[in-house]
Amino acid sequence: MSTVKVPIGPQHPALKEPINFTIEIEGEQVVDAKVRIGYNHRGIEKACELRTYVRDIYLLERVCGICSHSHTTTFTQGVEELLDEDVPRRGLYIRTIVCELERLHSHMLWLGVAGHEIGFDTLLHYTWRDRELVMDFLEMISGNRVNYAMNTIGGVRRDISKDLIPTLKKGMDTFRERCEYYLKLCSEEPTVLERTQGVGVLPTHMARKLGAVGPTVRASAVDMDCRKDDPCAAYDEVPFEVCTWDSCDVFARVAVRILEMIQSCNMIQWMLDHLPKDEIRLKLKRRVPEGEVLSRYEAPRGELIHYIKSNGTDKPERVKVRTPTLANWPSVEYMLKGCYIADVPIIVASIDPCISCTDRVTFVDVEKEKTWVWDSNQLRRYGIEFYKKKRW
Amino acid sequence: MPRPAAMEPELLRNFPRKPFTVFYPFERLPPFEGLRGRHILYLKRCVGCGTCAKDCPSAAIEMIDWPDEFPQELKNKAGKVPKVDLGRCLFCEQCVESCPRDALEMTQEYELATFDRKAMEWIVDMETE
Ligand code: SF4
Ligand code: SF4
Repeated sequence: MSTVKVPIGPQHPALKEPINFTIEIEGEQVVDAKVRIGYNHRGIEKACELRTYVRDIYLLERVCGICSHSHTTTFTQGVEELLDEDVPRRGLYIRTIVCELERLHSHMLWLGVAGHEIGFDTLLHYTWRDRELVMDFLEMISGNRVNYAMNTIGGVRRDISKDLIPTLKKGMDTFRERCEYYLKLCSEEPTVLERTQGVGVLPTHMARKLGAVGPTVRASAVDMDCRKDDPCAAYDEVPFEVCTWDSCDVFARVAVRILEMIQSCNMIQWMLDHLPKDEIRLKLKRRVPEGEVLSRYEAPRGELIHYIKSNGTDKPERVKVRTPTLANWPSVEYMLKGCYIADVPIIVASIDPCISCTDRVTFVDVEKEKTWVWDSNQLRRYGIEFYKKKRW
Repeated sequence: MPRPAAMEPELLRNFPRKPFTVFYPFERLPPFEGLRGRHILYLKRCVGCGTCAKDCPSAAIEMIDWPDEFPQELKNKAGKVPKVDLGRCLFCEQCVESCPRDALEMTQEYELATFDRKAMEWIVDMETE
C-alpha cells in the first residue's frame, strides 16, 4: 500500500499548542512521524538578561502556567548556589510542599486531559473537580491559584500558618483517597483500558536511548527521578519512592502519574508534620558573583534544567531553560510509529506536552495532492468514532 | 480486568449532590486571606524612593511628580509618588515586599474588570500614618 504524508500542525492535535508533526500513513497506520518545534518563541531567555534577578523570578514563573513553581524553584536554587548561601530549612520545606502540591494539580489535570482525549469526559469532569481542592490549598498558602510567587532568592515569601496545617493534612487524606479510586477505576474501566493498553509503547531500552524524562521514562520501567538522583530543596530528607510501571504503554503513564500523586500526598503530610522551626528566608545581596551554574529539578513533566551564568552584576549574563517536554519529543516520534491515526492524540498527550496555544490541524494527501484541514476536535472525534466502530 | 460500567457507583453517589460549580457573579465565594488584589498606597509613609518601581517585574509602577490634587503638606522630600497601572500588574506583591517603609499594601479587591482605563489604578490612602 502506498504511504500518505500527513502534516499535523504547527498546531497541535492533542493539546491546543503550536507544533508541527508530519505523519506518514499507510491506510490507518502511522509508518513514520516527525516533530518540528519552534513556533512559539517568546524571547524569555533574552528578556532575562535585561532584567535583574528579582524581576527574572516572575518572568521565569511565566514560562509555563502549570509548572510555574518548578521554574522559579530551579532558578532560585541556581542563584542561591551562585551566591553560595544555605537557605533556612523551613524555607526549603515550604518550597518543597508547594512543589508537591503543584505536582498533584498538574498530574490531576493531565489525567483529565487524557480522559478527554480518549472520549471519556466523565473522567475529565471528576478529576478537575478534585483538582480544585489542591488549587484552593495553593491559593490559601500563596495567595494565587496559578502563579504562586512563592519562591524568592533565599527562600520563600510566605509562611504556612499553624491553623492551616490540619486543613492541609485532612485535604491530603481526601485527595489520596480520590487518587486510589482513580487508580482502581483506570485499571477496570473498559474505555480507558482499550484506548491505553498496548498503545504508544516505549520499551525500556528505547526510553533510555532517546533520553526520555519524567513520568514518560518511569512508565518505561526506568527509575530515574531527579528528586532522588540529585536531591534539591528538602527532597534529601523526605521519604518517598520513585514510582515506575513496566508495561511501557500509555496505561503505564496513567498509572505512574496516579502513583506519584499518592506519593506526593504522603510527602506533603510528612513535611507538614516535620516542618522545621527556623526562618523562611534569608535576605541576600542583589549582586551575584561571577560564575555559572546548572540547576536541576524534577518538574511534574520531568527533569527541568536551568543554566545561569552571572557576571558580578545584578543581572544574569545568560539564562538557558531546558524544559522536560523538549527531552520527550524524540520518544513521541518513536511511539507514533506503528500506531493508528486514532491514537495520535492520546500518544502525544501521554507525555503531557506543554508548548502554547492554537487550534488547527492540516492533513495533506500527497498522492492525490489534496489538502484538508482538521482541527484538534475533529481529530479527537475521529479517534473516538474509530474506536466505536472497531468495537461494535 | 475490564469491568463494564466501572464508574456507575460513583456517578450514582454524586447524582443527588448540588453542582460543584459556583454560579459567579450571582454567588460569590469569599477570597482567601492573603489574596493579592488591588494596591493601596499609604501616602503618609511613602518617601518617594522608587525602590518599588525598580523591582516591579512588569514595569507597572511609574514614579510620577507629586500630583496637584494630593495634599501638599504630605509631600515627601523627593516630591515623587509611585503610580500603579493595574493593567500591567502581575499581582506578584514584589513592590510591597521591596518597599522599605511599608507604604504599599495589597487589598483583597479582585474584581478589577472595567471599561475605563483610568479605573485601573491603585487606591491612595491619605489618612493612615
Ligand atoms: S512606595 Fe515604598 S518603595 Fe515605593 S517610592 Fe514609596 S517608599 Fe519607596
Ligand atoms: S504587584 Fe508586582 S507587578 Fe504589580 S505593581 Fe507590584 S511589583 Fe509590579
